[in-house]
Amino acid sequence: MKKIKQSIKACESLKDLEQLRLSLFGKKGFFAGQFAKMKTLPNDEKKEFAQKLNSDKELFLNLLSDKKMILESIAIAQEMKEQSVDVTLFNSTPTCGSLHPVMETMDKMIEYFVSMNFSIEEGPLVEDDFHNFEALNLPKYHPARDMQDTFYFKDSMLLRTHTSPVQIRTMLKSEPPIRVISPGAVFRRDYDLTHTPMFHQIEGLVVDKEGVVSFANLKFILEDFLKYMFGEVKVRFRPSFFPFTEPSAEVDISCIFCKGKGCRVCSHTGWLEILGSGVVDPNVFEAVGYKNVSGYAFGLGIERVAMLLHKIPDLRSLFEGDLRLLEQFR
Amino acid sequence: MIITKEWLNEWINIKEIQSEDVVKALNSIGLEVDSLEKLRMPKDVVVGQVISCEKHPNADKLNICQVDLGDKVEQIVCGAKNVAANQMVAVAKVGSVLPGNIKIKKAKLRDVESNGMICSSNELGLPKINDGIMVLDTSIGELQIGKQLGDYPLLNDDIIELELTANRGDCLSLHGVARDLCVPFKLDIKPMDVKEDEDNQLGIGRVLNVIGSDKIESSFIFREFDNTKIESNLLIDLRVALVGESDEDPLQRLLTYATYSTGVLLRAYDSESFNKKDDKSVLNIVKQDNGLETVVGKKIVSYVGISQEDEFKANKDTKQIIVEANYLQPEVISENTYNKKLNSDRHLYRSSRGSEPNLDFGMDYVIDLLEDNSEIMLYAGSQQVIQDYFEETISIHLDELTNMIGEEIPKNKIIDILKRLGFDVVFNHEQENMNIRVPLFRHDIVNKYDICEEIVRMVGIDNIQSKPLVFAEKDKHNNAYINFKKRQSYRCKASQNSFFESMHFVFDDKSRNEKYGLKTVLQKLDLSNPITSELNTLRTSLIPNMLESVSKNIKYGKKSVSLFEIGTVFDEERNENLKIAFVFSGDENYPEILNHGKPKLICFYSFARKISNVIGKFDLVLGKPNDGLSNPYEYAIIEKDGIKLGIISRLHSSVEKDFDLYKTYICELDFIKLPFEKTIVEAYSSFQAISRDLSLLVSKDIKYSEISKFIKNLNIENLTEFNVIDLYENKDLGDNTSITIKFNFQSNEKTLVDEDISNAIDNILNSLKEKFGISLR
Repeated sequence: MKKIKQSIKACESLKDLEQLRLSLFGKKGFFAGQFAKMKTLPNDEKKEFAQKLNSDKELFLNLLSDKKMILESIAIAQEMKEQSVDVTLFNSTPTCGSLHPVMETMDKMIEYFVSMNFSIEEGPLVEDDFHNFEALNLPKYHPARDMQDTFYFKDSMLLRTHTSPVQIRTMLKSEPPIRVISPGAVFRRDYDLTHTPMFHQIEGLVVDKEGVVSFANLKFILEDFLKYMFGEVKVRFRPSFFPFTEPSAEVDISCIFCKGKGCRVCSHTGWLEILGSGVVDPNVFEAVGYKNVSGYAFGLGIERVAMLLHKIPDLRSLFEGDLRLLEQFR
Repeated sequence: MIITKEWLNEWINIKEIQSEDVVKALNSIGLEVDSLEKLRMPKDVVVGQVISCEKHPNADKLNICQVDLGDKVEQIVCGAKNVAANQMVAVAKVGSVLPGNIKIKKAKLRDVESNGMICSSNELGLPKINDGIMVLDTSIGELQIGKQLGDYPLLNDDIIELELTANRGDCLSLHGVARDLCVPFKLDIKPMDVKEDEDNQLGIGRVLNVIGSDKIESSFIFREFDNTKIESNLLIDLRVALVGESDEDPLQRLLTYATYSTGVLLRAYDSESFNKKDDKSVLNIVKQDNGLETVVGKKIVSYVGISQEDEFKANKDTKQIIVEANYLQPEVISENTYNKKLNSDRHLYRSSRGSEPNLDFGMDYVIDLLEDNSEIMLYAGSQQVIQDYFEETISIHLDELTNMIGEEIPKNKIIDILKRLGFDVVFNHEQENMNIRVPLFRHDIVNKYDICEEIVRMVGIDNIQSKPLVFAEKDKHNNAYINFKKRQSYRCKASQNSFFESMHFVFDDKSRNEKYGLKTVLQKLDLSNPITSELNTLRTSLIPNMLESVSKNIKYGKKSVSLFEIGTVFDEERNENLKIAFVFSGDENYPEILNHGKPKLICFYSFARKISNVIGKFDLVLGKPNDGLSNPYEYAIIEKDGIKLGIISRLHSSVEKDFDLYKTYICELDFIKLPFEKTIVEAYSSFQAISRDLSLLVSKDIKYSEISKFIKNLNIENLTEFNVIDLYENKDLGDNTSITIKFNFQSNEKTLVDEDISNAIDNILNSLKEKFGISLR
């Protein structure tokens, strides 16, 4: 008996254990032999012998099953070890694509204005003189047209130089109150290190009854918007001139790189010029047939904001599907 | 527009104000400052007097000068042509350091000792005024020999560059900028002290007769003088050079200086340019047929506000000179010059933005300059042609201003601002109403919004309290919003499936498009002023520009490049369509453990898989390419629910070569036709699905689409789906391909048993055999 106990204990594999089990409990095994012996025993000894044999059988079955559990867990551990990999070999660089930073910036802006109850309006890229200039208080001979070098077509249509014609289209097709933004591509005949012939703008327009919309309201939304985009920055309004707004203001934020101390990016002024805005000029309302209304409008370039936010060094790379840039936005 | 602090000081007393504060004030009132630069004379550069000047014995071009520096006399060798005895000059003493870190040391020039340097203006960091040394005069202050140049404020000025907006012609002069600055600094403009003309002069009527036609709209003042000697001075020369208007001729410099100071446009003519009658020059002012107003002598001598004919220009040697001050409203100038290709001079920039209409002011100023610096004999009086221009009067109620600004500005403040800016204000206290007369020089002010702007900029926008606008709620979910969400959704899916979003110009190269057989915008509708020949038309497909970017990336060393773009393209009629395009070139993956460092090249099936991951299930319909970009052997039309969305194809091998690309696939679809709908869930079975794979021998002549259509039409019960999962070709198979199809079976009513499946499979096999002669491999 002791010998059997020891051989169970000494068993090292499930296979050996199974062989041991067969030698004990198989048809020709130890216990089969013992039970066969019982026939030859006198009747009065049979009971005691059987009891002993059964309790031994139970004992060994338990020992076998315990040993099996141990050996099984060892075997699983062994199997896992054999299948193991060096997890540190993994290269975690994603292999997916990415969204374009300019489009992402545009989305971020749209999300702000939509949450402020602005709706979105779109318009054609090919425009006529009326929507792009005339209705925006830019008559043909106005010197301010110099500011916007225009692409013309042979039939005297043009590529819109700003998203402002969408303002005109919106006002012509609907009645106040109006609260819209119009994002999209615009075109100027200018191509150098800091200018591309196509870029993106987002434009906002709010119109309500006369005396309702004031300059103070314009200030509020732009300050809030710029803080949403850039975090805690100082916002500065500078009086300026746009033919379609009166009064007009250019809006600067304190430089996000040097916190207003002055650096190369802000030309040592401490300020970054971000957007143009103003109270809608009455001539614009007149051009669309609006009477007794008040309103404000603003517009900004999206590439510039995206470049500032992400410290993108080169404007042109934005238009060249440059993976060295885009891969960083995964 | 360049101004300097000392120059401004001629008109407004800002001596005690820091330049930084002037810059801040200019920015806050809407005169944007581009830069502030402080010119400072280097230490130990002093006033010296050339006592003697002799030729260097060993060098033709050098002079040996003895220069009195106050404490001693130094010998200095000087190479300038214009150096002469008795001149007062700027001397950099030994030990001084000039801009550019030039150290002045004792030197020997061709064996002659030289102790210092006589300086030119740009050697000292001042604008270049001539080719030689700078000769000092009293225009910079009293000259004391030995005095540091750093102690002359006029040479140590602060230079401010303004970027003026197109409406502010009135600020194109020092006087105009000073007038605006009067408001923030609460100062008054300094009046000009007009000198009385000396007596015993001949009247101008003896020599000049001006005849203005009654159609003209411009105004003029003319004066005339006999010229003995015209000279300018150092300060004028430096300032004229600073603003980039240097001129060889001192008369032109004086005129330029006067215009910069006062804003009045000035010209000078040789009186010989005019016809003479009774010894008088006869000068006609005529409106030409093309609308341009001109001064006419023997020929047209000038176009008002636009240009002057060189041959009639007076210069320092002209004996008898006529000076003209002119004004024409900027609206008229702009309208007249619009679309006319005219030669113009620097006058047009001012005249089209609004020059100073107070002609007396400019004329008095320039005559003073001439009398101070030159020897001239002036004829008494002037000849004038003056129009009576309409001065706008604007009426505004205080409440209107409050509503526009969103805050009440005290009325005294409003009146003070307007008066300092040159407006006449009549305030009606009972009705809180103002009548404001706009001065002629502010042609940009035409309505009450303009008045409001003046108030706002002078109060300072930063001082106006921000207020949120109360706005009635309104449904904002229009089509544009839905379109925005749709784009966002597709863009996200594309980027998750290994495509990078690109953004390209809507411009394209017409000859390239023609080469690849792409549509081009009709000639009569195309761009008339393209910026370059590579961008000379509008794109009709997103693909070519994307290929160019892919090519660039490959040149940077990328082995796998995948781009997508949503953008506007145009058709021949220049109608705008929104498209989405995908391009994939090179390896399907990056090299990594999973592919043993040997990623496969992209193939049609893996490219199409990516597309289906972005746009969902679609049908591929065979067709022929319409252009030369597609490879006809790997080309299909993508349809969804029977609607044609666009094409998917391998790029034509010749295009791959043109752009130096790896194996490349393209896909371009109509974005508007892509679905953007909510998912409706179909009932799904709760019983187990069973699948069977069958390898079939199929003749190479048969397209799989025929087989799949046929099987679909068999309407096999419980067959939910079947897809090709493998292809095998081998010589032993002859003209056949082995196609392995996985058939999925599932019932909504019961768990299928083997018999159900084998019946279905038999049915399929028998039908395929009968129809196509296809058998199991």
